[in-house]
Amino acid sequence: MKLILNGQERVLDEVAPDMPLLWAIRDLAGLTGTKFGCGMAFCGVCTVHVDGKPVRSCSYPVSAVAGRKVTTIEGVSGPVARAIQGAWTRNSVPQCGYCQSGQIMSAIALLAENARPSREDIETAMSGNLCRCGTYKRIKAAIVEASLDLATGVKHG
Amino acid sequence: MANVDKFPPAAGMDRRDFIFGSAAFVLAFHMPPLAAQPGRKGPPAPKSAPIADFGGQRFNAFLTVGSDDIATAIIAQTEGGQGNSTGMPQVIAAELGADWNKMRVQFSTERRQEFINTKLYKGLVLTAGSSSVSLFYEPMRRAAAATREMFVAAAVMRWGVAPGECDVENSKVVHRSSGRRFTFGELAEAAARQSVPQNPSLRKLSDMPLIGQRVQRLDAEAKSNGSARFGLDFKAPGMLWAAVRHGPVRGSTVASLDAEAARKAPGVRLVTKIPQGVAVVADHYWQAAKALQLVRETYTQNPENQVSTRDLNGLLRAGLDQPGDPAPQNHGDVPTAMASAAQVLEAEFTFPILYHSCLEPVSCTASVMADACEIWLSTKSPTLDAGFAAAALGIDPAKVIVHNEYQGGDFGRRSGFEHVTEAVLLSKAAGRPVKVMWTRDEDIRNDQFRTSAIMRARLGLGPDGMPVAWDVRTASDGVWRQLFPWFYAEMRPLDLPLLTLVAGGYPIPSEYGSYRVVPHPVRIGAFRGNSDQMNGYVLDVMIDEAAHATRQDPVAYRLKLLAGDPRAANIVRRAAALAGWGQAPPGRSQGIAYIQSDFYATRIAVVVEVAKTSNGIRVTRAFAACDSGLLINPMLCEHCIEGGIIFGLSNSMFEEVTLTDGAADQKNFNDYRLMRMNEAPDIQVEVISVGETPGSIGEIGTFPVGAALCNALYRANGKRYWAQPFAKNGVAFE
Repeated sequence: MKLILNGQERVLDEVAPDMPLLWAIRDLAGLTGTKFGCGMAFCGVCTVHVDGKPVRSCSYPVSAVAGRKVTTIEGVSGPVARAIQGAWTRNSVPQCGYCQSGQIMSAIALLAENARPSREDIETAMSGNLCRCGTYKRIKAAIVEASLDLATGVKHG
Repeated sequence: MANVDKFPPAAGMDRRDFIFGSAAFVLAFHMPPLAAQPGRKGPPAPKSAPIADFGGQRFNAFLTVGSDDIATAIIAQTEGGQGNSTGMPQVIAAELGADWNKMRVQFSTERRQEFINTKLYKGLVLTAGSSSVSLFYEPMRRAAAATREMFVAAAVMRWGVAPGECDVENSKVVHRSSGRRFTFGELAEAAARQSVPQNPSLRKLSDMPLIGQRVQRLDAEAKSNGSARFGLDFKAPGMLWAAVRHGPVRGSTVASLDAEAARKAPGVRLVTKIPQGVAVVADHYWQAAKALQLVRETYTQNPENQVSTRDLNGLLRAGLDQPGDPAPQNHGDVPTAMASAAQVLEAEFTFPILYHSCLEPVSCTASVMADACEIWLSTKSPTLDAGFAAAALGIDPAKVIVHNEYQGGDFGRRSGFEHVTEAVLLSKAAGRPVKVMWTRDEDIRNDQFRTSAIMRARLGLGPDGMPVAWDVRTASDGVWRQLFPWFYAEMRPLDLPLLTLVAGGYPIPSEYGSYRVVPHPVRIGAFRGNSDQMNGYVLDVMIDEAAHATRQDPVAYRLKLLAGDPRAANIVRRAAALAGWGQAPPGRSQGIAYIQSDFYATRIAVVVEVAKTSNGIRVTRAFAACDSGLLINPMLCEHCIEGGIIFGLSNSMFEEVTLTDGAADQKNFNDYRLMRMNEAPDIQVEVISVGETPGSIGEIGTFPVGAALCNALYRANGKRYWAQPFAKNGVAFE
């Protein structure tokens, strides 16, 4: 089967159709920025974009992305991704960092849809992403900062 | 921006530092491979990892400086989120006089004397007990100061001036009067040839402006772009993947195994028993996981380990009626003081078993050769993990090279041995590097859980309403007893539940604590906050109860109690001020708790605010003030305390592992509930820097927060919640 992974067409040979997209990304394509956490879409660390929408790749069969665009943390680009990743880095949001790829993928998808999310919008979009280190406050603040940066065109450093 | 790289461990680690007999740690077992594939390629040879591999001159355990002007802090402590991989280099850079932008950090897993954690246990390179910065503060400074003096010595040789005429700053040695200067890069080779000063002069705090700076985390960028490598991410050349399933309870052994169907599945290389279960090794993880579903096995179970939660609580309660071992800090005459008290408050507290919930499940990659092996994992202790691997293979621990990756959380989790044991045995059997990866279900069922406990407390109050006697008894299992039996054998009856049971946070004239060991059917291990979370909870809820029983304001009551400790009173006042104590918005209720700990050299107060909504209780805001000595990086401290507050709230509100016949009932995050963003309060933390010695930060946020929440719930609902988690013991959260 074929998919467009981070902008490049990839052919996955003899892949079991029920293989979760996560393992195709991590083990077949070798992109390990997308993490395995729970295997049942409860924690969100495996979040990637399929045609720009966030999905939990641990519970998304690879056969469902045939011919579609899959974007992982390694492949994000554009002003929203730059604003989000910049805000994350400048504010030292990550602690252990294991959930942060998934947090960032959810946050990018949120701002791409909703440039000025309210607190409730942020909580709704992000509460599927667990963080055991408890960086929720910093995540919220970074999303707000990125949103303001996008609105005002501020570029840092 | 500094980079975070990995510093491979040197071969031929110092055996003198490896103090424990490995057989004491790992159950001996025999694992016959059930299937073997012919014609496999041999594993790669181990890397000898010479010093030249990471560039620069190595001045000592903690530092290299290269001709490229880059100074590299070498850190044997693991980064699990606490920020030590930024804070430790910050200390080294400050004492050395390095330009922060030319500072790098590398992890090392060398088991050398300088990296031994002398605060905990014995002879281990170990990241635990929130000790990274506080313990290594002085050794790192001495190492950096010696290095700085070697640079000065190299410079004065060329200039023909006296060392006292030179300054070191921004990675340069400067001759003050002439303005001449050399960069570290220009001097690195010559400096490394200087004799090593035995007693270097440490800088005054005022000469280290980098101390106290809110510099960005060195790992922030890598952890924001997917490039940070965790234990689960490492891939060895030619590596196979293993999926494993363990027996239902601790100590299960496979009685029968039907592997036929699994062996025929695509990509499968090996189907075998492992010490407590079965494993499938395949070309890819998903193949292994799918084939594992085809394996049919039966288990012989250890009948002693088949206790359920209800029975365990019965055993704990019965334990409280038995004599326990007394706390070392007991003092005064509790029976007399209690008998003459004007009022005695009593309560029984229940704490459940907790699961660490690291979002990165346990994994280990191993490459086993004839009499050596390499392992890659999120390690808590390369000493322990090398020992586990060596014991499983029957080889010398010095032959095991441990590679340290970022930890996707630790919180005390990463001291298990099974994943290491499984990885090395499977690599040996497969003749290839193998990565063992546990599912969430396996990670839960085979955790070294936070022990459950039942505690009884009595607080005697004098005629003025102030405490005169404190009697606290706990029944639980102990971390040392289960995890470090060799250490417990030396220290018993002391163990974590007893260590801080009578902690002296509030001056009470007579105090008595005792601990009754109640062995658990599941494995017990270290957990963020350990017994301090429970001990702090019990004490501060009772103090709050005393304030209410004697109709005093909870903050005023604590301030009266803490009048003799200005640092403590200051912290309580600041937390109260942050929260606007006494002026909570309509419909909101606040509770306060305070903890002092000698072990962590900390004083911390937390105010939690709750709102009653039509859908239940919502935790709206939390405020913390903390004095944990000298702050290296206030931002790291604030983040860590914020995280500790969320962690402690989650623990006390939602979390519980229940056992049925010795097995955890919880399988994933649908039934083991963690706090999510929409449930998390707004948090404001104020950390103050006091004195010249750093205390601990990593766990302290968890200590008082449960009590502060309980105390807020009392004000909101007029009811005390003695049992955790609150959500399962009478509190409806929104």
